[in-house]
Amino acid sequence: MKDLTQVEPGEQKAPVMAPGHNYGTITDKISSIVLKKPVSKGWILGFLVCFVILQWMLYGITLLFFKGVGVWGVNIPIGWGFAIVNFVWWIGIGHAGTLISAILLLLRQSWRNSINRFAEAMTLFAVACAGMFPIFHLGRPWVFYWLFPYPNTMGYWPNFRSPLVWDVFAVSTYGTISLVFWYVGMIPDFATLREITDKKWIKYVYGMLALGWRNSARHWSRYETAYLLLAGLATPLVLSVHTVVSFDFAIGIVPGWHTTIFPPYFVAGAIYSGFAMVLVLAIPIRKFYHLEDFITARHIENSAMVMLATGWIVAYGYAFEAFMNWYGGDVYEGFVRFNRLHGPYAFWYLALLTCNLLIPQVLWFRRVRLNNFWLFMISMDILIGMWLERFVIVVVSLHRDFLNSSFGMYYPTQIDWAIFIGTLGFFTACMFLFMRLLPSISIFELRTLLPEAEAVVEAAQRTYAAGYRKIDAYSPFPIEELWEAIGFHKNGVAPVCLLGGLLGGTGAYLLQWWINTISYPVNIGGRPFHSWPAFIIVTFEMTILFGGLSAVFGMLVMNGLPQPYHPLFNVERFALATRDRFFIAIFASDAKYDLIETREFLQTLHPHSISEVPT
Amino acid sequence: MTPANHLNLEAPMGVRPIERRALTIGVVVGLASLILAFTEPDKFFHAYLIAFMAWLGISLGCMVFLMIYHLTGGVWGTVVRRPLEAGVRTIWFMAVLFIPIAAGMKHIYFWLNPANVASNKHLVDLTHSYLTQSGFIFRAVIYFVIWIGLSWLLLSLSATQDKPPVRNLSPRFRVISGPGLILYAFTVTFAVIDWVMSLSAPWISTIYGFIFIVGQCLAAISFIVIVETILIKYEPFSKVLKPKEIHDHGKLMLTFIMLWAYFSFSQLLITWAGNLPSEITWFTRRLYHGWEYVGLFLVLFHFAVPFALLLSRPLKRNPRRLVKVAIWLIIARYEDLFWSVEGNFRQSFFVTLPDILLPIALGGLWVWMYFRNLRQAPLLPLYAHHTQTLLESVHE
Repeated sequence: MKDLTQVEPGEQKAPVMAPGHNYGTITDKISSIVLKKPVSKGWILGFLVCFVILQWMLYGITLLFFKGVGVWGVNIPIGWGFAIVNFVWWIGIGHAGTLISAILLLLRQSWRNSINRFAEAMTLFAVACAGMFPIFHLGRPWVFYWLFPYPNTMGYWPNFRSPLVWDVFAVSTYGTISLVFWYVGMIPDFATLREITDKKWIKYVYGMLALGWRNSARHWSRYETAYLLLAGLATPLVLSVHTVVSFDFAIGIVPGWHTTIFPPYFVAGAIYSGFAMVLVLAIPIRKFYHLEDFITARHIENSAMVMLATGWIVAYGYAFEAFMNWYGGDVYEGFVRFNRLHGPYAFWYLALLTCNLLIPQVLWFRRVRLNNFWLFMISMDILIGMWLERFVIVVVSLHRDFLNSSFGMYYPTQIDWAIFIGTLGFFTACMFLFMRLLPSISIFELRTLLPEAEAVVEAAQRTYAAGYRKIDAYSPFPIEELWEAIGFHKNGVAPVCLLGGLLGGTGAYLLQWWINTISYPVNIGGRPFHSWPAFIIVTFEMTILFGGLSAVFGMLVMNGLPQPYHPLFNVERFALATRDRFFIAIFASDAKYDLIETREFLQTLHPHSISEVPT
Repeated sequence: MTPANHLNLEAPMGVRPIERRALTIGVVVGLASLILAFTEPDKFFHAYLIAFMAWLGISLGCMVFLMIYHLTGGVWGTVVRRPLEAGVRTIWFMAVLFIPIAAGMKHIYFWLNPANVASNKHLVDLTHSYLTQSGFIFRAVIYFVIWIGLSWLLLSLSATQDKPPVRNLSPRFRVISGPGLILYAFTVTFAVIDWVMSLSAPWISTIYGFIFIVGQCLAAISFIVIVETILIKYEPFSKVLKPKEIHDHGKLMLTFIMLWAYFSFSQLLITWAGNLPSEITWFTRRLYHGWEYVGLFLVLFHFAVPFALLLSRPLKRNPRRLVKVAIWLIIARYEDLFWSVEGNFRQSFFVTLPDILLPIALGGLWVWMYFRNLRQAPLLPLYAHHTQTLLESVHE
């Protein structure tokens, strides 16, 4: 007889949350950063430093607006320079946030719950930094809205065959969806903060932000569906954004830019640098705010492994770009290969290879992945490496292309540096404010990591079985069984989302077709007026945008939010619904409702307390 | 006592007839098509290359999923680890099936004939340095040595896990799988350059390797869904395979359909927009003279229709309905390879007898090999601690 009882223990994986926490301690620990702890000297000092750096950016921008892009180092042939390098770099960093949130939610990876919030915040601030540069680069930033298709007195429309127009749609969709995703994720936590704080005006602010959220099971049901749909839409959106950025280069025929691997290779590079930024922020934050219980070694190690994996996809890109460049035998492409290695920027190309390929290989060792100091240094190294990569792609390809007579050199000016370094200050200053003002870790999602409350589900089932139909249940976090128990099975969010997406996509395609073939047909490079391959990008982006917004607004409208006042809020104990207690409500409008009988029935459920709610 | 003792872990008798029939079909159709090798060698070898790439894709795709599973874990992989390993065990057999390609090279690769390349100086250089007959065969040997080596490492470690006591070999599997995936990605790309991309030398597309990689994964996961639909009727799969895992496999199919569409569309858009004579000709060959219908067919049936179907949650949880999509996708994978490879040889679209016979012949042999392999080991890696956890949850 085989002895199977002796099971060797599984691998010792670090837990996602340190032991000894319950719903209450999680709530207290995270909300205390925002509400209770005094502003520390370290925070003030750090914020001030960032704020000073931010002033440098404002100085640069002011000068830029007064004098024009001549204050930059851009010239002909290098028309793109730092502005586009920084744009691509920042938007790449903005990828990890939504990626962590959305993909890991879909993959049911519960370890995401403690890092998604600040990763999403990071995304937003990075996208804000990124979005500035193309607008400055327009030369006349105050008319940036010309990029959008709107009926105007100039009688012109955008050219939807240009990747630069796709970029406008991709980046603004990404910014909007990321913002909505982030905000929707915070609504239940705003409700928690609203109940915890003592100060009236703070209560007012968080109360408004919470839109009257009251943790009802019906609300949770719609909320969960909307959040999941948003995640499902955001995942392809993340990939599409850097894909469209790569099209800015690959659609043209400049040697070194025109290569088909650019989309996945840019996306991998973006995730690579995005996770590096996550670690650069997470390592100090968990240390200074003592969040080691929630951001554990497991999070840090997993992020390091994602960097290793995406780093190898980037390496694959370098390798096959170089190999096929030789194999294909194009003279100009061959020159790019030569020029990168032996031209005036060769040092930076080699530095990029060292930073991106060579040094991160130490991540193969577990000891390095678990050492916070070295991991921080490697993440910094990757951030530098990825910036250099964009610099090499933009500058080295442009400075020597087809004609010897149009060769040139690029020298960034002081203003170039001021604006670039300044965005770093802007980004970190925003992060400092975020850490102080908003719950930096998702409180309600951390609650779901703890064992669930079965008592309330049972009580709800009994209430439903007793014949009550106009009932609701309240819990500090979503419990699927709970809304099933009160007889709420179909929430209607998904059809709204589908309808919105279809309308958005169809509308976008028709709009592009009408603009570029009927209203404003312009022959550009001999391409057909009706260029369906080119129209797919904006169609895709608008499908996601309208689908996502429909899901969120549909959820809010069906939940009857915003509704800042609700009679239930008059019950003092009800504040605990946002913390660690569960409630069941039977509405007076129920057919079976009778003040005395219902009270007696509720007594049989053994509650802590029963309250009558005056309307 | 553990619940595992009650389970019958041998491959069910129900798969024996499949094995026999597959062998019969493989041998009979194979012999029939062999006649064509002598009467119409060109058409025979072109079709052979496509069929070979199609079935090799499933073997290698199984290895990719196995390594991904070892790196990430998850019940979706624990249940189908043995079906995946049976696919990995066919890789050596694909090396045998490669011999006819090496033997019939001159019928497939135009660059072997100096007269064909003389007009292009770069091609002359290339056929002296990289695209040479000996280089081609030498590199093929290297690819297969690496793939067989990887499969041997994975399978032998798995075999040691079939003996008690229960132990956790995941760290050792991970040491193989991490570098293994990188090795796979690089070698398969070089292989695809040699075997397929060189048909239109010196045309290049740097995303070409990725398109094949996701294609192989899509074919493999579709095949696994077919296998699990057969096995779910019998123990142990009737006990351990839950709608949740089938749902996960359906999601993987959906993911790889989307990735395939993403990569293929990116390649089209970048090439179309650049419109360079050296690149766009690859597409113009494949978008006129009847080929455009094959292309349209791919857009609709390799992407749009299966994509829309797989969005449905009930479909992904129902193996009977999911398997129809899976069978369809295997056929669509073949269409994609056909469009990609045969587009080099034929000005206009038509189908010949070898195009139909050879995928069936190779498929018969491959499926026979696969189910034979499935019998070599218990259907669940019993002494892996993941399996123990799984069985405990089943027992509850």
